[in-house]
Formats: sequence, C-alpha cells, structure tokens
Amino acid sequence: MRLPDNESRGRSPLNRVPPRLKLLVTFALIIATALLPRRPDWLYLVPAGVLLLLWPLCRLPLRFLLKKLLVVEFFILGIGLLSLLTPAARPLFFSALLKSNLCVVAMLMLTWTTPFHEILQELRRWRLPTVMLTTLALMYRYLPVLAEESRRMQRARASRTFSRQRRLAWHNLATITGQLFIRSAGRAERIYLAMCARGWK
Amino acid sequence: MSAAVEVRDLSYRYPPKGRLALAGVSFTVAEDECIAILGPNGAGKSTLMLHLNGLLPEQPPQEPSIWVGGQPLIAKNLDAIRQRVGLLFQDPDDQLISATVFEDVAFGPQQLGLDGAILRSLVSHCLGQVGLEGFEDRAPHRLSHGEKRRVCLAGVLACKPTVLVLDEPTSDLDPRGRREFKALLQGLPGAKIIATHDLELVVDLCSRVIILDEGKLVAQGPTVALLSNEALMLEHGLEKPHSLLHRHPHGPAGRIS
Repeated sequence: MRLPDNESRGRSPLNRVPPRLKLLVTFALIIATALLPRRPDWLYLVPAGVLLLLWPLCRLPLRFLLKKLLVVEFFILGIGLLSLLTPAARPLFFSALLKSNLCVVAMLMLTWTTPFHEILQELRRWRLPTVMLTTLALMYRYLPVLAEESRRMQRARASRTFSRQRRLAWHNLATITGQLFIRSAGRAERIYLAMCARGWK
Repeated sequence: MSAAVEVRDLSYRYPPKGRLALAGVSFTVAEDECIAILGPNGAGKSTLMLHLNGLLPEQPPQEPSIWVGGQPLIAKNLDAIRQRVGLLFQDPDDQLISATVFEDVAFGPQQLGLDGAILRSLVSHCLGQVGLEGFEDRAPHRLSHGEKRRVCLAGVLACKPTVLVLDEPTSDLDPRGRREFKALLQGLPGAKIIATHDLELVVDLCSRVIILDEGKLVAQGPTVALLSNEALMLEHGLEKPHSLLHRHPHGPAGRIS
C-alpha cells in the first residue's frame, strides 16, 4: 500500500513551510468551505482560488490527485441518487460535490507537503486527545502491514484456486476478510504487549 | 553479588483453565551471562519471555517467582523491572509502532520522562550502536526485515536495560542479516536470554542452555555438553547443531546414530 510520506516524493516549496501554518490554513479553508451556502454559489470560487494559487507551490501530480478524488466521488453518488428522486435536493448535491472535492484537495495538498508524523506532532501540540492521536499514528503505521498480510493471503489462496466460479471468489474474499480480522486482533494484542514492555501505561 | 535474573518455581496456566504453559520452572542467570532457552514449538519459551518482563500474568502475583537484580517482580516494582529487562519481540512489526525510526527509538525513553536534546542524542547513540546512523527520519514500513529488527533493538537499548530478553532474534533474517545481528549481540554488555531455534547462534553466543518441553525445564547445562547429547536433543524435538556434528542424524544413511 502506498502511503503519503515524505520519502516517496520530491521536495516542493510548501514542504519548507512550518507544519503549523499549513495545518492552520488547511483547517481554516475546510471550515470556511463547509460553511458556504448549500447551493452552488460564486462564493465557492474563493476556496477554489486559494487552492489554485497554492497549487504550483506544492507540485502535487494531477494524476495522483484525480485518482484520490475518484474515491470521494463514490460517496457523493449516494447523495446524487437522492437528488434524482427529489429535484429540490439537486442544489444540495452540487454543493456537496463542490464542498467535498475542495476539502479533499486541501487535505491532499497538506499531506503531500507535510510528513504524517509532523502533522501528528503539531496536533499533539494543539492538545488533541491522546487516544485519537495514538489511534491515527497506529493506523498509519499498520495499514501497510495489513495490506501486505492480505496480499500474502490472497496469493496463497490463488495458488490453490483452480476454479473461476464467482461464488467461490466471494467465498474466498469473505474467508480472507475474516482471517484478516482475527490476525489483526492477535497482532493488536502483541503490539499492546510490546508497548507495555517499553513502559507504556 | 545477586544474579541478573532468578526464576524460582514459576508456573503459569493460560486463563480460563487453559493448558499449563509453565510448570515449576527454576533457573538463574548471572550478570553478563548469555543463556539460550531451547525447546520445540509450544514448549513455553515465549510465555517465559513475557513473564520475565512482567507482561504475564496480567496481574503481577503477590508472591514473586522472578527476581531481577535481586528485586522481586511484584506490582510495585513492575515499572522498574520493565525498564531493566529489555524484551525484543519475534515479529519486528509488532514492536515498531511509530511513524518514524526516531519516534520509535524514543518511545521507551519518553515514557521515562526524557525529552529534548538528551533524548535526541540518546536516540542517535542507540541507532549508532546498531549500525543505523542517520536513519532517524526513515519510515519503519520502508525498512528491510534486518533493519527493522535492528531498530527494535535500538528501541530496547534506549531504555538502558541490564538484561536483554530476545525472542527468536534471528528468525526471518537472511545469512548476512543473521551474521550482522549475531555480531551486534556479541558486542552488547549485560545478561542475555535468547529463546531460539537457531542452534548455531546458541553455539556461538551462549555459554549455557536451558531446555523446556511442555512447560517443564527438562535440562540445563553448558552449551556444548548439552547440545552434543543427541538423544536428549531428539527427545525434545531438537537436533544436534551442525557445528557439533560429524554426521547429521538424518544424514545420507537415513539412520539415527
């Protein structure tokens, strides 16, 4: 799994900006965008303009950005379906589409130019709940481990799969998902012990 | 002088009413001694390792069975003992929990209240000890297996333990990684307790061996004497190591001599 971290990308001018400033600007932009009217409006050009101005400074590849945005569009589709049934909800659909895309672009630009551990350090300084930050840090650390584990299981399954029946494929997927949950629970227990061994309370 | 570790009549059953994982185990480890814990899978090696750090049982007992540097392992000494006993887990991914190598090595010392320049210099010293200078900003998920293991060791060393407890330290390492890790362990001071199936590592590093089987301590003694006892080794799911063997027990003749 490819995670946004500083080793996988080139340095951009925004990388040198202190994380605090980047976080403040991003959060301000997100809050302002969320508070915009629930219908398409010229005001939407303000956050879009800010992002467009910062765009050349962050050197985020367009292809990477579009791929990530596609994930968001999937969720927007739910609201889209609703708007087909009630025409009154159509402006809501367009505003939600604009808002979510603008917010995600802002977050992507932040994570592209700021290593994740620096974001966490800054949030720690802002005194966000420790439990939340620990959860975020562990999620970032263990997502690639889980992805690798599921890849290994899929490969092992595939090596012993001799039929292309769809029913069997779904069954395999369900088994792998179940196994992944069980293994994750076991790993969580071992991680907790390893943390306690180094004095964590 | 008190022993680095003393275990007296240690028994443990996994709750609720699980199998008896350890049954009346007793041994001592002198300061600067390196001993190996051997035994087949399920013999209780990892359970014993967790006991030495006070991670098992979940509630420390009223009556201690383990003493570290003369200090009994009971609830009020738990923090001090966890600092003195550095435990290296079998899977480095269980132990590397932070987003960067620096944060991970700093994890233990931070729990002890260290911060600032002292913490930074301690982390860089420990990374130097394991041969990973300049790795501070690297992400653990981008390291090789051998590098991960060495970062884990640096994280343990950063807590300044007097006893190192290592669970399968060379499993999954390639020959070079294994050789480098062995040299690294050789150079570290303090008592070392190594649970392993890597018998060549035991011959090279450990002066004494303890064999566990089904939770019981079935034999202990000097490494070469014990590991040369082929009947004993085979009885407990082990093998005489190649370096002590003229003919492998499952050699071309297919006959166990």
